[in-house]
Amino acid sequence: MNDASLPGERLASMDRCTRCSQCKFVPVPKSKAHMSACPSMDFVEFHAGSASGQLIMASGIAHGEFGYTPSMLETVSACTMCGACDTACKVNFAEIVEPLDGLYALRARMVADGQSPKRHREVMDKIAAFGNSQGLPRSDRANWASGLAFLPRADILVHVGSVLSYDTGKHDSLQAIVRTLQQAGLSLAYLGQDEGSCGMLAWDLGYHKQAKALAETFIRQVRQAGARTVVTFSSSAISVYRSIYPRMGIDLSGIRFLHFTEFLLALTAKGLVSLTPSGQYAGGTVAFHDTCKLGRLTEPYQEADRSVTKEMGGIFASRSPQALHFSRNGIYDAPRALLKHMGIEVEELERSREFSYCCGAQGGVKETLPAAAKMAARNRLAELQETESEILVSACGNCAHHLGKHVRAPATVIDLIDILAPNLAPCSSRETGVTATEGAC
Amino acid sequence: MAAKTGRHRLTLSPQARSELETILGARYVTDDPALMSGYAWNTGVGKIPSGDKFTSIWPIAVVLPATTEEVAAVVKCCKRHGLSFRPHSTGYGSMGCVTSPDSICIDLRRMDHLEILPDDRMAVIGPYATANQLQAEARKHGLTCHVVGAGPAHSPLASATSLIGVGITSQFTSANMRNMLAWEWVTPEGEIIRGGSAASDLGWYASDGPGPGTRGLLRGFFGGGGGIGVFTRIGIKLFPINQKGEMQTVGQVPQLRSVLPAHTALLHALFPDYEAQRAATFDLLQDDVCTVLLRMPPNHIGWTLTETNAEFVRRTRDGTLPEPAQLHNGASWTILIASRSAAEHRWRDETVRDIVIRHGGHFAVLQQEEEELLYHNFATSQYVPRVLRASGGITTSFGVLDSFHFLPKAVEMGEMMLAKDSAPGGALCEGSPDEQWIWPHEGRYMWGENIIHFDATSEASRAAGALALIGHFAAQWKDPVGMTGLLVGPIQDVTGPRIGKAPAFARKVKTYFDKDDRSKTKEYVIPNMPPLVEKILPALRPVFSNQMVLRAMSKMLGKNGM
Ligand SMILES: Cc1cc2nc3c(=O)[nH]c(=O)nc-3n(C[C@H](O)[C@H](O)[C@H](O)COP(=O)(O)OP(=O)(O)OC[C@H]3O[C@@H](n4cnc5c(N)ncnc54)[C@H](O)[C@@H]3O)c2cc1C
Ligand code: SF4
Ligand code: SF4
Repeated sequence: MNDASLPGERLASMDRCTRCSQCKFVPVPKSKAHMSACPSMDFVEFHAGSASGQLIMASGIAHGEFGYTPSMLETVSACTMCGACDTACKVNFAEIVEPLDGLYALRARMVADGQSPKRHREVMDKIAAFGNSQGLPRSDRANWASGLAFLPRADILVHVGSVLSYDTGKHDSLQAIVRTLQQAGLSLAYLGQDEGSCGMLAWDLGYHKQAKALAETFIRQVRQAGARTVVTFSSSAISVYRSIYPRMGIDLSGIRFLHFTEFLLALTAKGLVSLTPSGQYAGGTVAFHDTCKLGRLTEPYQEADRSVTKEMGGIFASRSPQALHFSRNGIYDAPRALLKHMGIEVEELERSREFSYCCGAQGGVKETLPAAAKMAARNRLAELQETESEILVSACGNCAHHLGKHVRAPATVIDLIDILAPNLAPCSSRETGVTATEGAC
Repeated sequence: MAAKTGRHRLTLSPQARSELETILGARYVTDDPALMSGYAWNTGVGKIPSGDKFTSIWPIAVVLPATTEEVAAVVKCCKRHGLSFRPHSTGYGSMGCVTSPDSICIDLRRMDHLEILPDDRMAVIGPYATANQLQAEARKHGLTCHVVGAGPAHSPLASATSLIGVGITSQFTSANMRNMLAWEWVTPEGEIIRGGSAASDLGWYASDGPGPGTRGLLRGFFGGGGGIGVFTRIGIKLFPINQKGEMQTVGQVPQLRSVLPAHTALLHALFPDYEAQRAATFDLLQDDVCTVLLRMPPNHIGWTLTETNAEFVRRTRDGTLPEPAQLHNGASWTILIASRSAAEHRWRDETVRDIVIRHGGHFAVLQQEEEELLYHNFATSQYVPRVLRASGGITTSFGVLDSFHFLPKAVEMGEMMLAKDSAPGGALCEGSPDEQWIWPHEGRYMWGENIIHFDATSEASRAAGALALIGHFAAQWKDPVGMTGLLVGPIQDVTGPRIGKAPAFARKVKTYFDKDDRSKTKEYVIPNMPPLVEKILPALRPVFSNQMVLRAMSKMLGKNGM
């Protein structure tokens, strides 16, 4: 990597890192035990593990201070691309550093320089061959839907995502929810075995060209299906649709992207489906894990001039401050509202909403550095001990699966779809007076 | 023994590495250049955040000990192998940088002991119990800690033992150099020593013990700066607040706010001039009615109240920043009153209002959100590091540590140094005519520090920043503005008789404990200085104060960085 290989503006932002370490902490910690914002720092422990450390390494490579080393590649692999650093840094540094964009640029340069870690390359090979990072056969991708009928073209396209598609333990819930939607009168399309990777992981690993190719394929499929609304069960997918696809210059006009929690909440409000108090959990309290992808990383990306100008003799000012990301418009409320509809009280973890701590499932860490992913999960689960709840709910199949693997009894981790499925019921249009098409739009 | 590589970097000998790995485990020792790069990043106060930011001197290795015994073993290993070392807590003050290529950076991140002793209003902390962690735990008991201007992520232990220690709430949380209680120390020889009550195994509650006092001996005002071994644990004072439990934080990033607790008020008093402010200050302190008093330069208030630089620039230009952030309103105090009962609050509130009005002042009208933002900053010091947001380039001044009699003079000195260059079209970033942050300590004396901000990407602006910095010292030599707080390294020696024999005494301490200068830093005192040089340096004051010399020096600093 040489100077020219990092866009000048991005390198200048990296060079502005003040090494203040605020990206290692949630902005206002509530305890010592849960003050960390950065799972990668927790694992690596040297400053290099933090966002700042990674920006400095990127700068060092760009300025020719040193070359790539195996330790650097391993360190970068521990970063879950969760963006908590970005939120924390911006409390003081707003537009001047923007660490997450720096991390995206670093990984992209590593790929361009042929330095992507071997295990990242292996993941990409699997995505290319099988359409998922686990290398599971395409022929099994739509197994969850057996017995359900979809239309080849419909206004609404259901997207499931690679994790849930192959997580057989979730298939009953997934099927029950989709069946309810159909019973409520909604016409749904689904890509079946042709559904591929949404591109989020490819983007996070720095394979931006491949991510764009995956995005283009998907958008072509959406248009071929005649869909105007994509409803996804995947938090990675909703994140890539809203915050990454718009960076790629792909025409997304006329397509609306919704997470299933937003969609169900809207349908409930319209009276197309109803949620009854959960037999098992109503009256009880659960803690909620905000998935990074669903929360802070679903903040929509706005096309804008992202450069800074120098004003008033040297003050760096964003040309488009309204387009800066502050983790504000992610999906935080919809899952909580659904739980409330089912009579379940939500207890907030110390690090919640935009300050949530990543469980380690994202950014390729789970696939490439399981020890780091496990540590992050354990750190996150330890937070449950500060609450009255023994149940941690996640609206992300990936997080729920990963946390579920590392949880210790009596605590349990539950995927929101498993609570929703038995309590979701269609309301007939005769009861509500609302047609399915009206309700869906 | 160490071998030389290019770019002033040395490599660790296999024996030294193997010993370090035996002490700590291989995972906690690195000399990988990429992993060490974060310990060679030259930024922050007085540094140039652009261009080639990597220091010319890199550590020979970075290690992560977990216990005092491991620190001692690392220090002894350095001695065996003729290496030096530099302690590193969070690295914000020092940027983690070492000052000699044979130095091992001892990153104390794994030593994060934190224990609150609420009855004794204190905590026992390790180097990586950062201020935000300490504060979160202290609040559970209705207590808080002093947070220096570096903000919530710095190490109070590093601050209390080694680097300055002043902070915006000093009126009621004192300053860290006075907040240190008992201490545990690994000397530059690798000996473990405890002082104060801990020396007698009687806990950590007092800095007074059977042995000599520590503050003057080991740190003075500025601090040991990493030049006198490694502190591994200290007792530190905590202070009662009028709210128990978590901060009630509201708002969205980046403008986090805190709801004012019951019986709390945030006022912003504006005075017609600095004389009136000084007179009012004596009354405000005399009556002990204010919990916190802070004078931020108006543009810095503007930074706090705006979420981006873009918003700050726009609102400065269209004149929509609130009154306290307008440049002509420099003579001001932001005042926090935190009481425990309605009656106490009424008394304090009425007294403050009476004093301010009696001295010709008035109160700015603040929106609730603005009040909550300023209160959040008082409670956490969260936004003080925003001084680095504007241009990324800041430096400081000499630091006035003296009576409030000097308030107008300190501001005047700031204006003399900055007003021309901080005006539109000047060589520094546009700002207030002076950029003094001022606050009282324990109801008594004043701290004032001029925060100079410059365009770090412009050589001319960097030179202007450097000139303002060193010019402050020269001006101070000529016409003292109270006692000079930020005296360090050679500046102490050049300052000479005004500070008595302080550097010579510190040098004796350093030589006694560290004759080989293994605990290497440029933030303490120049070790092993021949008596003749010691004598000559103060005589060079007129040379260093000469305008031409100052300009030549600042040009050089502007070109090569500080
Ligand atoms: C923007 C900004 C604003 C600041 N504002 C203030 C302010 O208002 N008031 C103030 O007092 N300071 C201020 N500082 C400096 C501040 O004192 C330090 O940043 C902080 O207190 C020290 O903590 P640290 O974790 O950053 O220490 P480090 O950078 O890790 O260390 C600071 C110094 O202490 C030495 N040291 C660290 N740990 C140990 C140890 N365990 N034993 C022995 N030596 C050690 C280091 O070698 C170094 O010389 C500011 C710094 C910045 C960058
Ligand atoms: S990335 Fe931001 S928060 Fe982290 S050290 Fe750099 S400036 Fe500070
Ligand atoms: S993205 Fe997450 S894991 Fe990576 S540096 Fe930032 S906070 Fe740490």
